[in-house]
Amino acid sequence: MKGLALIFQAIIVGFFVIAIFLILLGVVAGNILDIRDALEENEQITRTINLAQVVLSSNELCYSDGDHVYRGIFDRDKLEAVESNPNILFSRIRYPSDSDIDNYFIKIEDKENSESWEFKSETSIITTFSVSRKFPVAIRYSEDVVHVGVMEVKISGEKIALKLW
Amino acid sequence: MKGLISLVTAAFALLTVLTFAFFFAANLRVQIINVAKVEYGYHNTQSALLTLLSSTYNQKSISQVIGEYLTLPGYEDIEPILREKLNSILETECYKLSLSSEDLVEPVSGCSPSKYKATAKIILPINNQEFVERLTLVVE
Repeated sequence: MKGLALIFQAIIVGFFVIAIFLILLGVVAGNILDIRDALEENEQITRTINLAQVVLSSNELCYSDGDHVYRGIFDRDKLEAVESNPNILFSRIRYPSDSDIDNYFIKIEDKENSESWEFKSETSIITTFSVSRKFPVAIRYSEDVVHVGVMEVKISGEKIALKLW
Repeated sequence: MKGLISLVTAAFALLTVLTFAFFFAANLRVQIINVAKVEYGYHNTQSALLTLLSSTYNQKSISQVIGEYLTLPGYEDIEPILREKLNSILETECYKLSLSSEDLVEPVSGCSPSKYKATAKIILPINNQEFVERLTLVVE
């Protein structure tokens, strides 16, 4: 009778241990999948920041006095020129053809007079992910008039990325 | 009985390992997300300060306006001008803009910014003691 009780106890403990094991395994596996998504999202955000850095220093958009390009200060005339012909920007700043990023989009908004400019590449691939971030910029109208604004940079491609924050 | 003790010991060891793995994985995920957040926050704070100083008010650059505010007596209150510009370019209202001697824009009540810090030097126009002043922007 005592032996039977021990076997019964062992079975109960065994089920209990297996149940906890399976629950913990599921949670750990879920976390590992989350880490993979976090790594991917992190990579896309870093790419967005890198693209923004390039655009913020580009001669195609930034004010230049002939000797120096002023980082982070966009020239209003150049913004107008690129808006009417985005190829000026997209022919100089683009991702390689084998990159998983198909497309990028830039919107610059003047926060002092609500004027805005948008640049889109001509590629019209249907994308499955997009990451967008905003960056402060200055917009120069003349030597005496420089407004504050915000540049939104959005990249898109075929991989799936989850919204984490 | 001996077999049962071994089974319980093994189960306990396995649970301990899985619990540690769970906390490690959860912590790693938080760390990865934080790396991107810090990079973005740091970059934006630097850009916001440079944008603010490059912008103009009444045909003068903001760095010039701050310099004149510090050195010319009776200069107008520049806090609303600076706050309006910073509010429009930062994604938060929890920030502080300060000089070594005073706060130019204080944070809104109930917040104490400390996460991201950017500094820049501005030239003072007329001052016999100091030629430059350090301006600091701290954003939460």
